[in-house]
Amino acid sequence: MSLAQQSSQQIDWDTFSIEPEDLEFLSSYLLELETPLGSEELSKQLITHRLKSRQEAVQTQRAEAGKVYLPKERFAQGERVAFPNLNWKSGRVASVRPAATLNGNPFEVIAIEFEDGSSKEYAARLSEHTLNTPPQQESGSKDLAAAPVAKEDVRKLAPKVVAAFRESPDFVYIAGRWFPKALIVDVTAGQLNVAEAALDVVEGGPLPTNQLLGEVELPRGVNPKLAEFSLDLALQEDPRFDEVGPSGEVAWFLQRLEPEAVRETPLYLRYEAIEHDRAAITEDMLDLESRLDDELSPIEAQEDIETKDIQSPLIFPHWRVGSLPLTRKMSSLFPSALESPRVRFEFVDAQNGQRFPGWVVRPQRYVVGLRDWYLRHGLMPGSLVRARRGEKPGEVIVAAEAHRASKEWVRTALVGADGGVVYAMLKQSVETSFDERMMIFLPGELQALDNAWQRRTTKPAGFESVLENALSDLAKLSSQNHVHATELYSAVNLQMRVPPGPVLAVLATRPQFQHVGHLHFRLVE
Amino acid sequence: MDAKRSLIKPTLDTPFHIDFSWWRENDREWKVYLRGLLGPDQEEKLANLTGDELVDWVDPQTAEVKQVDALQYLLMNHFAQLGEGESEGTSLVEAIFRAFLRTGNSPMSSTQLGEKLGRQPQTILRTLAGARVYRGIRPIE
Repeated sequence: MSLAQQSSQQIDWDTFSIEPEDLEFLSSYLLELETPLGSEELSKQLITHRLKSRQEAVQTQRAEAGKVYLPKERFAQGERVAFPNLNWKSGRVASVRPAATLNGNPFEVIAIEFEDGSSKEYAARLSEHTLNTPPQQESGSKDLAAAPVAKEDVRKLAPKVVAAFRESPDFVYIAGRWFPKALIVDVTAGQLNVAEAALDVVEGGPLPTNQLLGEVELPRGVNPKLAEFSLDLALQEDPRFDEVGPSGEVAWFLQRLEPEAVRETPLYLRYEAIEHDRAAITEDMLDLESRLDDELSPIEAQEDIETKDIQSPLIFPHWRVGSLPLTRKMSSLFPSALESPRVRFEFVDAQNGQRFPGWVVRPQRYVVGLRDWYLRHGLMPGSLVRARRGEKPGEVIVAAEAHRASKEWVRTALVGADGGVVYAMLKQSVETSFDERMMIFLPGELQALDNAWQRRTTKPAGFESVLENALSDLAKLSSQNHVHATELYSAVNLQMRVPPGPVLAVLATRPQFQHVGHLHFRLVE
Repeated sequence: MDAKRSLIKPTLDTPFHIDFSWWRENDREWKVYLRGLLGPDQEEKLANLTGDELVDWVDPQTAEVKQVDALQYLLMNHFAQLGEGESEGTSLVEAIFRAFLRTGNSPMSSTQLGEKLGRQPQTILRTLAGARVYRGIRPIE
């Protein structure tokens, strides 16, 4: 099928590949607009441009295919004729003769020899016929440019545009938008120092770029959007600044003033991968692993439900750091970002509406900023934390339900000066509701425990012996001498950061651990 | 040849047309019958002709020219002018016959005829595919 016979609207965006001339077009478009654009908008422009170019090419080919056939027209022998109603099939006039008629209305009959070898006769110089009204032209270039581009086509093309831009050295990207490097406004070291000072004044930030632009004076006459983009790029390339805005927003923070738990993964949340045999984990165990919802569990082992309200029990490491796990389920509540590894947002205390800063640390999968809040509300490892999305975007409401009884018999960890842990059931003053299996009450100072964690950075503890000791200690609190896997997971995490997978795999495979049913284990004598 | 043709089992998509040669072969009075279908204007035009003269008929949709005899030409023009409404209240066979004449005897399947006439295509197929040939309407060979 020749191009003239194809519809100008037909482009297969699935198989379409970006050519250098497409990048040239997008570059010119951005230069003309002087405004950085996202991949979706650029894809829309490219689709419109491609359709327009194709339409022009089709029209040119159609014009070359011959004189458009209209029954009222006169055609000469040897002339090329194109038939719009036959999908622009074209042929040559082989002969012309007067028509034999009864009604005295003379017209001519032209014999057409088509390019495929077939031949037919058609009427010519016939004044009355429906085909004399020229066929509806496919939308002209103006219409095409104005016509809405199908979302589906944009969805197919956008990743290809992004890939082509990434490969090209001529484009720069920041906060979801692209622009040709050549037109970026130069931001000097002095101007960046001014930006640093502006952020210093507000204790590090966050400040949106347009607010920083007010302080950093870029040359007059520069398109404001381009100025904003240029400053964003300069800030992004300078390690002093960190972009911490949620998706769709750009906000800057001074990296040196970010909380320590944001700049560096806290000791308590660091996990040295433990080799274990996942194939040995039983179905019941996999189910438990999913319910425990640990950020270090494989993503496919994490619960995949989107919910507006999550209640999660704390393990010691998160309680100590003041963090929450950024699991698959939990991440639906917190603001995210396209590129920025860290996102700053606000927690809101459900009880008193008090607001305080929170940080999403995307690569290490945790959310931090709750340490004071945990202490204020008397939370302990095992306490239940409720989180839900706030009314405003980027706001997360946290709550801890008050416990009905003020004094309760709970598992209490007594930490010796050497960091050794002994468990006892003691009556404690418990302020919030908790998960019975995960609860570990920690009375007194944490110094000895902290020191033990610190020591283990140079002298790592043997995971299996920690697990065995925990089982041995906890079993003494049970009349049947057995301990649930959840209790062991919580207890092991009092001494080292371990996700459920290795705990469950070791319980399932080592002969000293005997399964007595319903995920309860005892030590073989 | 005839034995072979009889083996053809038409389907809903088999195209049919009026086979004017059938009329010539099977009905001595065919001219009388067909002329009887014409209106007074066409009758007048045919008065000075034998009816066998070839005339250029222009397809109203495609402008393609087909040479037909004068009688056929006048019949097609007559029914094209009458339009689709004139078949109301006629028998199924008559409605099909007129539909072919209206459209310049362009081949049509039972499905297409069903759509055009608002009748069941299966009923049309049963009628046209039977042993008896009605009004020369036959499948295209």
